Amino acid sequence: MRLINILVLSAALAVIAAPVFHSAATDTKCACAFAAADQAQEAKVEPAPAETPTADSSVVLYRVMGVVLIVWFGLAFFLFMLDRRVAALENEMRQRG
Amino acid sequence: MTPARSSSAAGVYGLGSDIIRNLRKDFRVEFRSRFALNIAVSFAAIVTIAMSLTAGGAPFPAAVQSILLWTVIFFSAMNGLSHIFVREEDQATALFLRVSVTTDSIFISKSIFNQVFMMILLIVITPLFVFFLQVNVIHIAFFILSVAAGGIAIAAATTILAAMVAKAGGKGSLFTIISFPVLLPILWVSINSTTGALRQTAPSYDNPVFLLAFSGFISVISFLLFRSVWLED
Amino acid sequence: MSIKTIALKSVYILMPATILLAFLWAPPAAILGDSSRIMYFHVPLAWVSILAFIVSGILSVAYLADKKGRFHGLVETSYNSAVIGFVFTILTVITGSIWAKISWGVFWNWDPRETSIVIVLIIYIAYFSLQGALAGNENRGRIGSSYLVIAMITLPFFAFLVPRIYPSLHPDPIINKDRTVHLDAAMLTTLLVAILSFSLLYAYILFLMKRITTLKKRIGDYHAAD
Repeated sequence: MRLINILVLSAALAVIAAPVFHSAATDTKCACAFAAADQAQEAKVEPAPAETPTADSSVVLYRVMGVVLIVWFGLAFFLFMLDRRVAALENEMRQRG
Repeated sequence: MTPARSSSAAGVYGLGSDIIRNLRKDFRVEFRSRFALNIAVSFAAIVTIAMSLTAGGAPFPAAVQSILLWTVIFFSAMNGLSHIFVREEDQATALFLRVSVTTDSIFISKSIFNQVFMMILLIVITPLFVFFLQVNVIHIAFFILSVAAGGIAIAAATTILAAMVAKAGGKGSLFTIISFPVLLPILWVSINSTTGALRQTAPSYDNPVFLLAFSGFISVISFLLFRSVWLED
Repeated sequence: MSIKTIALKSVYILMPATILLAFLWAPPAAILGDSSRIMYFHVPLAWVSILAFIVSGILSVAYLADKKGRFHGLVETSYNSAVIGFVFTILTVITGSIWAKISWGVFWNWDPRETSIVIVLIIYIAYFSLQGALAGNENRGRIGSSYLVIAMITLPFFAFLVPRIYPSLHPDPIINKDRTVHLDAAMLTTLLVAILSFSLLYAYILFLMKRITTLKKRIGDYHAAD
């Protein structure tokens, strides 16, 4: 089990390492060019999402907010129950001395 | 903590003689079997030859060459450098060492051993790599300096990590995993540095200087922390 | 209820408030549009990851310096902080890649901050691997703390190295000039509230874990006394 963990992790590290090493050795110039290309691409994309908040986008916004709120309430419920249980255990410990 | 024999009574002389005694013992034990060195060197040779073979003799660009060089050095080092402490735990001599010799002298002698080990490894790997992968080294002195500085930094950073791994039972690739974040800046700078040596433009001496400064810094920190890794309650 | 408890439990109110502020009150950013609202979650998550990492490191140093054992539970708290930090770091990476996909068109491009968060992630992974391998060892705490200290002192070197090698696409202070998005008062307030509530969430979970660790220890003592 543990060995498998370590193997998976080392594979992940190798995957992560390759591009880091690669970009380390390429020149700053290359990286700049990459960034510049990226920005150029972005500039092309920029005019596309014209920011006019239509009714449609605000519906999406409310939906996303609903999902986030549900996630938070789930987490909050879990934390709250955990807190109560720990408090109960603490009380028990205190009573036993 | 185990009361280690104090070296302050004998002063610096005592520490020095302890270190020399440890080193002599370590080298004798290591070169009796040459276990770690054989494995590390054969690994490096196999990987280098495999890369050269599969590339079919086509020369790589300078950046790729230095990435491959440091990948080979990194993994060969990971095969051998933890051996110095893992062996002590395996052969159950760690306890004896802990009681009989001061902690400081153990750390100093083990890191000197690792430095020597790393240098031997580099002396074997680098010419082999240059020979098989048709590396065209333009600034030879700078190339040697970068490789040596990188090696010193790797050996300096991993000595204390080897002691930690030995405590954890020397399990497989754990050493590689825990060394990776610490060695990442070293590899990064070393790759840049050797790439500079393979290019026409005059290389900048920032990188080797950074590597040497880093190895000094990490050696000092390791020296301070070694006591809490090595001694047991 | 003590002031500490009230402060920690106020996260139950502050967090929904943050969500409402982020989605309803704060105006959308000029160019990024509504997608910029992920900022109110991404930035606090990143802040807490770094905070947890620093707390973990400081507690490790304190534990190693505290030879006489005057303080209890330093290693355990350090480890717990690292666990929380690890989760927050993963969440930071996820929210960050989503935002990067929306605004830069790619999920990942080794931007300096992305690189540094990945290095923090690798350090966490290595630390947990070491802790796992040391299970049952009496010196686990000391070895783990030493490793964390060594890994942490390499981070300033990255801070020195990374910007020299990569140009940043990340907004410089928070949103950069050439993107012509500046935080107006409402956005800034929302962001600060979000940072506060995420920090409180971190503190709340950390204290909860601390209480559980204390309970565990006391149960252990109880059994040892039998």
